[in-house]
Amino acid sequence: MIQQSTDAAPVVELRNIEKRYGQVSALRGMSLNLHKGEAVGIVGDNGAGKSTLVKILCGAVQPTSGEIRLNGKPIGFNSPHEARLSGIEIVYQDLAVIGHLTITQNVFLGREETRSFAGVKLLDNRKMDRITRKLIAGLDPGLENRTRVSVDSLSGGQKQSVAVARAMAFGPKVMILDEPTAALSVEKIERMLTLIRTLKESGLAVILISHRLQDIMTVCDRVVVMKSGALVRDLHVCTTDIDEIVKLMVSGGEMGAVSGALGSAHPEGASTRSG
Amino acid sequence: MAGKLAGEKLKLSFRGGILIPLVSLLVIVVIFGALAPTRFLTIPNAQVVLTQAAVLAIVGFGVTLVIISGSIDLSVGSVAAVAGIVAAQLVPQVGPIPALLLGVAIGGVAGAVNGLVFVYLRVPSFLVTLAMLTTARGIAYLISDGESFTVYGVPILGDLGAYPTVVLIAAALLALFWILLNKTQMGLYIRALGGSEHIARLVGLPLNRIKVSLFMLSGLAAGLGGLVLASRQGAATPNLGTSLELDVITAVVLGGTPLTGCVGNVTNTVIGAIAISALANGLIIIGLTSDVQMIVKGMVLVLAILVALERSKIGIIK
Repeated sequence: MIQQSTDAAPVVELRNIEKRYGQVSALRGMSLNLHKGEAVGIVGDNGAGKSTLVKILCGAVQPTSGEIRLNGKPIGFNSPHEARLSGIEIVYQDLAVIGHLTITQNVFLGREETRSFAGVKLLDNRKMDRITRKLIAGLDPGLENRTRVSVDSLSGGQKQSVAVARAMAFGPKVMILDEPTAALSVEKIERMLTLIRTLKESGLAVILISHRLQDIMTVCDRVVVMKSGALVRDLHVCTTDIDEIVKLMVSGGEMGAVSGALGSAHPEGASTRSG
Repeated sequence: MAGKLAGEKLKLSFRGGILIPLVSLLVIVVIFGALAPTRFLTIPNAQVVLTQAAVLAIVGFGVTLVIISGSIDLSVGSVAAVAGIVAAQLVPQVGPIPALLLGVAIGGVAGAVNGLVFVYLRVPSFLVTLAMLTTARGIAYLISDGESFTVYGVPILGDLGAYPTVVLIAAALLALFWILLNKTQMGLYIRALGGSEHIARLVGLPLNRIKVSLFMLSGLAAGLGGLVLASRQGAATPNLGTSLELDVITAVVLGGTPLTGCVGNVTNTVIGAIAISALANGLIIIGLTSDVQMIVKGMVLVLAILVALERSKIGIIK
């Protein structure tokens, strides 16, 4: 029942993460392991702590206590930029692209290629364009011819391709997708799901935050159910179904038994539930 | 597809594009050319217009960068006055070249103060620079003791404002600012900051450093503008460059750089500066009094802003 990938050391380990905002606890001892080539869906009702968890992982928010390990080494991020430098990329729900800048400028923003000209560092636009075209061609065929147009003139789906290209451009280890299918047409959703599979196959660890449980059941290997800032259950998708997940999201799992899927691979996940 | 691409180009021409500014300039030239062909459309008058435009452009390049970053600098006129007076006062003591450099440097210091207050005390830029407008003007009166210092005949400083020197200075500055804005990371980050400060922060751009540098650049350009202005007037006076900021902002916006940030360019500012100078020149030539000129300029500023403004972004003008 335990997948092969879980035998290897996890890429990311979150241990006992707590986040308090004054008197309010957004996360109460949340633990999570992520492995290479694995997609994990995180689900939970509003206020379950999904977005706080993601913000901590991508460096936007610092945990009150707990430990994050990347490839076994404890790590802390003071900003999203630091998380990106460590290989953790996120595609935000609002995409976070700058409308007036071109596709290439958005993809490389903050990490431009430069060349020296008479001692002055100038942007190497040709090189950046070339890399962007290649990336975009794989994500959104046809769009690669428009890398120099401003992102404002693109459709929502195309903007998302730009955001994904930016996340993929620098060889990330972990890719977080926050509601990636929320604004997409049915046809584009299929393409996004295919993309997630491709990302997995290329060895990335993928986190998918989505309200569409059918998407999670289709592409994810595990689904993590959260409620009130804590882990309810960490399940393999093959051992569960949408009905059970919905029940767990609503009830918090008090009525059910501890899932066998947690097993020996995630003892810390099971133990923190009570705390 | 072809239609969509055409649509993109059309849109670009409205915001940050150069088509409308060029048309405005053309309209101004045609109107005054028709009203006073023998006096407006002459080579000497073109030189007068270009000289006037060069002064606006020199100061305007710095302000253009600030506006593209989503902020504004209202202090350039007063900063120019301080720089002009400092330079003119120091020539006898330290010689012309060091005096010029010190004058420009004092502009940079004033700009840096703007930037530091803006960034670290988190005061909106229009308030910081409005305060600097008054403060620097006060300093200009204080250090000059209300007197004026003649620069007529003073080596180098006295010649800066003459045609074609001033136009060459503007051209050299245009090249520098164009490369900075369009070919370097700093320039791209200025646009990103104007496009979305939130996203610029997310991707880890060094925003504080960019902002301080921006206002410093604007101060340096204003300082150089002050020297040129003093030279044009023949003297550095404490009221040098009064309401220069309005002419400069009009030139920038008329050039097609909207106050909403991100788009625009220093080349646009050249067109805007020539257009506003041609307008002022034409109004004088057809015999309108200076009060009417001020009213017309004010209306042009509103008109230019109306054309260039992005209403959806109006909430973030700082």
